[in-house]
Amino acid sequence: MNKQDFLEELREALNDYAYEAAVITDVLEDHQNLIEEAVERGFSESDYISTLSTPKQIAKSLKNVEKRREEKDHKLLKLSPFLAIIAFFLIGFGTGAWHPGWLVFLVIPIAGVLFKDVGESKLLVLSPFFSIIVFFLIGHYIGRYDLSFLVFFSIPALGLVGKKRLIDRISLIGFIVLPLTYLAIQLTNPTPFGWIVLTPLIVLSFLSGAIQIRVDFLSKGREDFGRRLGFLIATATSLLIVYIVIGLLTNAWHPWWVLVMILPMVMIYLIDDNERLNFVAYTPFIAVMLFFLVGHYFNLYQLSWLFFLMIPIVGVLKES
Amino acid sequence: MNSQFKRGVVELCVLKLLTKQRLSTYGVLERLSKPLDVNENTVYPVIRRLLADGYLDVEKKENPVGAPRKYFFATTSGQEYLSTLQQDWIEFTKAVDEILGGQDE
Repeated sequence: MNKQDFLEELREALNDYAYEAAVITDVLEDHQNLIEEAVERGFSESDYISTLSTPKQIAKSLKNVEKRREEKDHKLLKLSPFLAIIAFFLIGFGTGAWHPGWLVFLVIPIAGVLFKDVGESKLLVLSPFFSIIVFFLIGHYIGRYDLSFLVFFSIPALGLVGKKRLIDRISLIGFIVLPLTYLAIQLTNPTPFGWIVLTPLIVLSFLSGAIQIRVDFLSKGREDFGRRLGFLIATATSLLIVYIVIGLLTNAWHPWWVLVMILPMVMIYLIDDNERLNFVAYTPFIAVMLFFLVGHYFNLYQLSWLFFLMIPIVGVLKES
Repeated sequence: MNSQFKRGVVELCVLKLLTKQRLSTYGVLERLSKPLDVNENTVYPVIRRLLADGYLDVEKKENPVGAPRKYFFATTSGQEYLSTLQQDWIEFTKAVDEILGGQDE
């Protein structure tokens, strides 16, 4: 690793810990000094960097020393669960569209991402929510769940944006072009074997190292941002494959799309460095899964929406 | 060595070094890493804490080939704190020496 990459990773790690801007500048300057001075004394840049702790460890070691940014919850964030419930009832009783009116509950995690500091990848963090919304709106109102699932490919695609390796760039193009090709085929000349055009994405995931990265992640812990991102892409790809296989074999595109909910939960697990699981963060996704699985298989949509109440309830319990 | 204990020893040594001379993080690390078997992940947070507590200050010097170099030094309160730490250390090691050097009963 060279100095620039090391300092960039350190900046990300310090940001993840929400240190104040002045602290981040100081720590980056100090480590730049440290590396430059070592090079002056005859070390090679990469050799010296390999003797240092990882950026994540450095950020963690300052946890009890440095000031962190205070995060005050935005009013809209606090109100979002209640606004969502009101909107859900208004839509439900007003238009009878309980489904897909339940989508308003996604306002809660979306507000959380928008009004809280989640690092520099808000678009990536928001992509699962937007994908769910687009998936349902197109699926429900145009009746094409078999096509609207393609929007979920935008999640791994966004994860690859900005990565510099050639294979990552090729994978990015693949995650954009191949789903669009599949869409074009199904719209112009529908065929049950159209999904074959999506299979190179599996190969691309292997070639970009996602599967190997996943193994490293499991065995070494979660120190490295690149590995975490790779693990995320691997998870997204695996979920898509499982979803497509279930969809093609059983035609149960709905409600098995809920598998996608695992992805943002994995993302939160990877981003959140607290040793204890932050259950509040997972509740919107668990609620969506329970809402659909119970609603669909027990035909209880009129009651299963109650699962969404677990979001504010768990939040209040945690606060107290 | 217990990491908490090691941090205390590192704090004492960092202050002592920076009372005698102005050093960069690299300079401090160079002098402490081998004798105390510590790396930058132990030393750097100690420097930052001493800085935050006002026991250290920093002087920046322009560097023609990179970022301005930072040289740390002990402030007056840092030197006073060092005296306290040194006194504690002497009493502590004396007590331990007595126990270790004592006759078996």
